[in-house]
Amino acid sequence: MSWSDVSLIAPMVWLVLGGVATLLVDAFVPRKGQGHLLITSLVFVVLALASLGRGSDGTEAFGGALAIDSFANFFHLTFLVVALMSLAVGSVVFAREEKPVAEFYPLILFSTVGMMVMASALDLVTLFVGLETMSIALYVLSASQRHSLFSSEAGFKYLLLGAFSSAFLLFGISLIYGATQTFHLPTIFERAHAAGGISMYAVYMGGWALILVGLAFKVALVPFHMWTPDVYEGAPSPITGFMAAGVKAASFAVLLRVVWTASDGFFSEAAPLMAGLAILTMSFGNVVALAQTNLKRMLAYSAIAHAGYIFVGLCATSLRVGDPAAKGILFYLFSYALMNVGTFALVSLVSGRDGERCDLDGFRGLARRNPLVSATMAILLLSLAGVPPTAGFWGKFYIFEAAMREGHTTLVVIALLNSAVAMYYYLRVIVVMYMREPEGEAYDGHSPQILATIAAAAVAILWIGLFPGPVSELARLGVTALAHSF
Amino acid sequence: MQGLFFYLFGTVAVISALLTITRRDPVTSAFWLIFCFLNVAALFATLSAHLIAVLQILIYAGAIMVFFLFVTMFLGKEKRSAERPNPVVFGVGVLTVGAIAGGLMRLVRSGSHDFGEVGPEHGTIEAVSRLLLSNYLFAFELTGLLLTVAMVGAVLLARREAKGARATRTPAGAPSGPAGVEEVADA
Repeated sequence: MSWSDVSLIAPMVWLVLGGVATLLVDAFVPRKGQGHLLITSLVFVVLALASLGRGSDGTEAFGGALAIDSFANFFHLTFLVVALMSLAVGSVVFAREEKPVAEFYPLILFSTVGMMVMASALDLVTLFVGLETMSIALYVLSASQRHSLFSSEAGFKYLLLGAFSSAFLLFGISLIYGATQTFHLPTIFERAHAAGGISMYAVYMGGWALILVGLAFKVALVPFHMWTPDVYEGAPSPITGFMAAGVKAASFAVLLRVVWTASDGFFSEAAPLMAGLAILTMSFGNVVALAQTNLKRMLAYSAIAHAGYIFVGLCATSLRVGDPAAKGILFYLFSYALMNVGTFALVSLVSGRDGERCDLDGFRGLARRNPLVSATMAILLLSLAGVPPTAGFWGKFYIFEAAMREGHTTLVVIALLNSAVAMYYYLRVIVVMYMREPEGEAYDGHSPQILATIAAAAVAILWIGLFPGPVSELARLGVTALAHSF
Repeated sequence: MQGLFFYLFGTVAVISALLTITRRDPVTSAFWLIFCFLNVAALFATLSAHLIAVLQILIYAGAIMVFFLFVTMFLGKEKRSAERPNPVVFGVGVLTVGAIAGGLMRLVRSGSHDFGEVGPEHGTIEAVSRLLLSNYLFAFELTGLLLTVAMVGAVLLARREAKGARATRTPAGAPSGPAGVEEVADA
């Protein structure tokens, strides 16, 4: 280790320092309100953003534990944007509590560090510790709403099923170590491609299968999705947005690396299984989402469906420089992060003080009361549905086009049918907002932070939708860097 | 000699594991589990994995089991699981264990594994700590952050119960936690 290693991970170091700083500020600066905590944490996120972009393709830090390259930087940027928005939204939502939760700020920052480590991790041990850092902070944050039983239930369920999935992941990692005698992913790749291959082939394959199961829990693929609706509904909305965007991006970053490492062994032989998972996930998520009247539950099932779309990309990807499916996945995850954090910010704005008015009825006639907010919501929903002038459209387009070129026609057809089904429940919210009379008390969400966040998200989504070039180029560079790390 | 110890500790470990899952009383089960952990620790020691043997005793037989016993005794023993296990679940469990055991036996018998020989220094405390502070330095340091996160989270969640116990107004229909937990928070 040397100082150059530390300077390579400067963004993570800033976030850790930021987390510690907010803890200390909370302890030693006695002030009402949480403005000072929000500002402290935002300063450190901005410092982390400013120190992004270190390292070049193939740069490894800490003796091969981390890769700091364009791939990692792409995801680090995504996580930092998600953290920035979630902090701004959360500061409002948590300040509504009788006794505000000051630990919200450090936990978000530490969880973001965990995500960044996951996206960078080149060895399985680092990967696991990063994943746990991310997850444990999220278990606590899910349960952080003191007066709500739903929130406690969400935290507890997430903890139990998260621990369960960690056991699968850990067992898989130990099998892979047993078969290859290394944790380092590029070395595993080399050994698998060396003459003679891997002698304990069954153990090796079993290891990847268990790792896939462990990560499938985190991204909520269908047989492993049971926790998603309850946790998404019970957790405070800003946390749900953070979780949906961040955990999904981090886990798919890991999955991409894992799939490429094992591309010629496990994932080529398991291709039918993978396609089955994708189909099941997309169809189940969309069909069940149709029946939901609670907006947060609907978004939870839609999150499952989105995991399915991204998994279609994963089925079509293979290790090569500039793989279009992988580029699509990166693009999708970035735009999905923006839409999701934005949507959940809006939900916490409209659902009011107790945070439990998330029924569709709460959105009745929103367009009359606040045309700007409902227009933003409409943009976010259309982007989630994948309607053309938005970022969501391009994400789907890149992934489906790449899958088509790889010959996964059936998968793409099913994905397109699913997108059409999904259109119904996204449009239903828009219909409720624009074509129903308002009823009940007027919504009381006048919060500059949340309004700024959702406005920024909507503008970014439209901007990326009109000019997908820059983000797409960043994603392409990321995929190239990922290919170089093998 | 080593073979003798292996079979001795191995047999006792398996028997106490079986007793763990067949006893009705959770406390009895827990004690058999401790005994099982101790035997596994002894197996590690015979493999010259000293650090793992010590950690096995300290963490599993020590910290985790004490925690487990504390919770079990604290919540009261009246709710012993008296019902018989579901035969389907039982059958599936036996089949799964049988399949894994059979697969492992085949793997070991076939000799098509290359676990590689390790020297007697392989699992010593010195060797492991050298690895921890060189190859796995980053993961090791990150574990520090992980523990910090767990501590901050524990403070957040525990303080919540203490507040619930003192609050004069609890939200309608939402009890602020099991009565026992509040008593502890007050104490």
